[in-house]
Amino acid sequence: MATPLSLYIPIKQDAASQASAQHLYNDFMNIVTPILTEIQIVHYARLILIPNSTGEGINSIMLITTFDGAMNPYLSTFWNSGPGFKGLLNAIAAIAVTHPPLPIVSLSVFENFINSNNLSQPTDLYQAYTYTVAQITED
Amino acid sequence: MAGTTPPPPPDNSNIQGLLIRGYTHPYSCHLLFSFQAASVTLNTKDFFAELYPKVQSAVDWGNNKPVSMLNIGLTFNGLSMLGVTQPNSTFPAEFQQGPWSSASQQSLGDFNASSPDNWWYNNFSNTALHCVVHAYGLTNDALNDLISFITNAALANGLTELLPIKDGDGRLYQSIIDDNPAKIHFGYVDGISEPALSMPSNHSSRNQADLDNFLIGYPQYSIIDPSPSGDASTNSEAKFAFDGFYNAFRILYQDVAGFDNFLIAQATNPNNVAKLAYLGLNQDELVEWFAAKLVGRWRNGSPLVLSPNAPDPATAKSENFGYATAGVPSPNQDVPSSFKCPFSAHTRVSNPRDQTLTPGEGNLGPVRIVRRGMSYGKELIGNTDDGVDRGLIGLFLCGSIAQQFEKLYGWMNYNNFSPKPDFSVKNPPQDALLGNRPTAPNLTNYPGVVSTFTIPIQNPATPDQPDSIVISGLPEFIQTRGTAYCLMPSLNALNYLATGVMA
Ligand code: HEM
Repeated sequence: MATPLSLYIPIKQDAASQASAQHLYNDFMNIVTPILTEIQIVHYARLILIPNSTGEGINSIMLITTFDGAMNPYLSTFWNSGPGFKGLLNAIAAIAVTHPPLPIVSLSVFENFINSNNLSQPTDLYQAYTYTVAQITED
Repeated sequence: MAGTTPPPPPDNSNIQGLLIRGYTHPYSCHLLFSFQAASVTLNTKDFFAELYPKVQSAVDWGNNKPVSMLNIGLTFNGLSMLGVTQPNSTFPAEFQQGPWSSASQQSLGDFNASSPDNWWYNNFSNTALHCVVHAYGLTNDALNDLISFITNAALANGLTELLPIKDGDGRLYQSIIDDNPAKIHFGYVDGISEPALSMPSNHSSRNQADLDNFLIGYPQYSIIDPSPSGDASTNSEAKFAFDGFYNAFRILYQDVAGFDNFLIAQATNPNNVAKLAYLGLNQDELVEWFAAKLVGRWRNGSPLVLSPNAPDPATAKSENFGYATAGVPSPNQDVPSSFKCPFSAHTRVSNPRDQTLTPGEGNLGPVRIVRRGMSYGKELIGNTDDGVDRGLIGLFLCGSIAQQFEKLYGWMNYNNFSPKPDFSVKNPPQDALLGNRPTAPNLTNYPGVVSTFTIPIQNPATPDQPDSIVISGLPEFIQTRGTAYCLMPSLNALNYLATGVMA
């Protein structure tokens, strides 16, 4: 089964936070590519910066992905994938308007942070196909 | 959490005994309550105060085995009614949302007769269940006295009892099936393999079977990080939950007639009989052979890995074995270990031990759960269904219901967690005993899933010609009657509910 995750994180408006968001956007592919290639459960992943309605600056970060497996047990897969993912997550949390005490070092705090900022329910997903990543990439 | 000092050992007198100690009381009843007030004004404080002296902790009772005792679980809705939960709660999402939620149902996969819409025979709604009291007695009389005591306390303090099943008085009583040794419906000895529950002394000694993966409040080396485990001085939920654990309380109907007739059909199927002729077994022995292959243990408990050819009293309680085979170039080519125990056998799926897992499962080994269940409903005599409700009162104890209980359920419904020859990536099978056997429209959640059970065989006379028995169209042996996710709070927390004062 595929699970949609739409992480919506409003960010702070100071110059450092805004610059940090831009860095995260620029580095995103480099950070996640080796991790997601290794764990083989993610179909697509992207990070987007949502502009302020004034047209100036960044309002929020969205991390949008679709992955195989159920939401509840498989969030830990990302967390346990290593320091790259934890670093990314902490960098996002550091510029979030609301976030748990930093740094996030515990799996349960991570899970709560994701669950409270995820705008998708498991059933909010159109699927043209139901195959898993492993099924698609198998020769 | 990284650190250098080992965590202080938990205090057994603060932990409800169910987690650490496997009770052997032959009589038990599992009473369900709602805090929605009945005729009398609700007074939960007095209810907990009355029950508190009977709550069994994890302290060793030595020679003084309690004649009767109880443990208490509370759902998130129950905790909310008691004022324990806070806005923006830090309790885990699956506990807050309940097992009927779409997120939990991704793993549990209860549909058709098992659907959450049908749970508890619709005697009450899933959200009305707030409290489960597990009552144990050494004798039937002791249990009955305790039940009267609990239900009187409930009645006097305005709680409503909820009746979960259709037979008898509607309560969930433990039933005794062939008690020497005790068995569950389907005729197996159960409750053999359990995690050791020791405390790790450092980061590198940590293990999925350790106590800190089950008990809330010991995050230092925990793999699972049971929550809420934050700073108890600022987080009242963490303070309340400290030394607690979770119980995925799940009532599973077992179709005993369907199961017995399935085994007989396999044991008399001419193709199977011909292929298995080399074993020299009669029909009854073949029934036992198929029963063992479905579970990975013979009905007496002997694991197939240690006793591949016949049950052996000497291995009946053995826990110490693995599945990895030396000399196999890659897990995808591991056929030899399956000659003894099929890959989809229930115990091999629910604890694959040293078997290689797929990368998405991480490298911390398979998660464990603590099982404290028992049977309900009277034993079926003969092979024809008598319409009686019977099955398993499942008490699956965890530190994280999502990471442990739901993770294993996902595996049981979709065997894609390990690279194995029979776990076809394109067409994964299910747990031979527990799989939910989806059909359209539920198939979309299980891409390519098949209800086929493959039992690899190897006739010693022709070792270079491995073969297999392939059973297609596996029936659904199990149906879900209801599920509740409960916190089993510490004795301190229960005392707080009884007195309003937190020690
Ligand atoms: C009515 C339903 C069920 C039946 C009849 C059943 C039966 C059995 C039997 C006969 C055993 C072997 C005895 C032992 O190792 O202790 C076993 C082991 C086990 N079962 Fe179940 N079971 C059921 C439901 C479940 C569920 C729902 C789960 C998980 C969520 C589960 C998880 C396990 C685990 C973890 C083991 C031990 C495996 C090991 O460590 O080797 N079972 N079960």
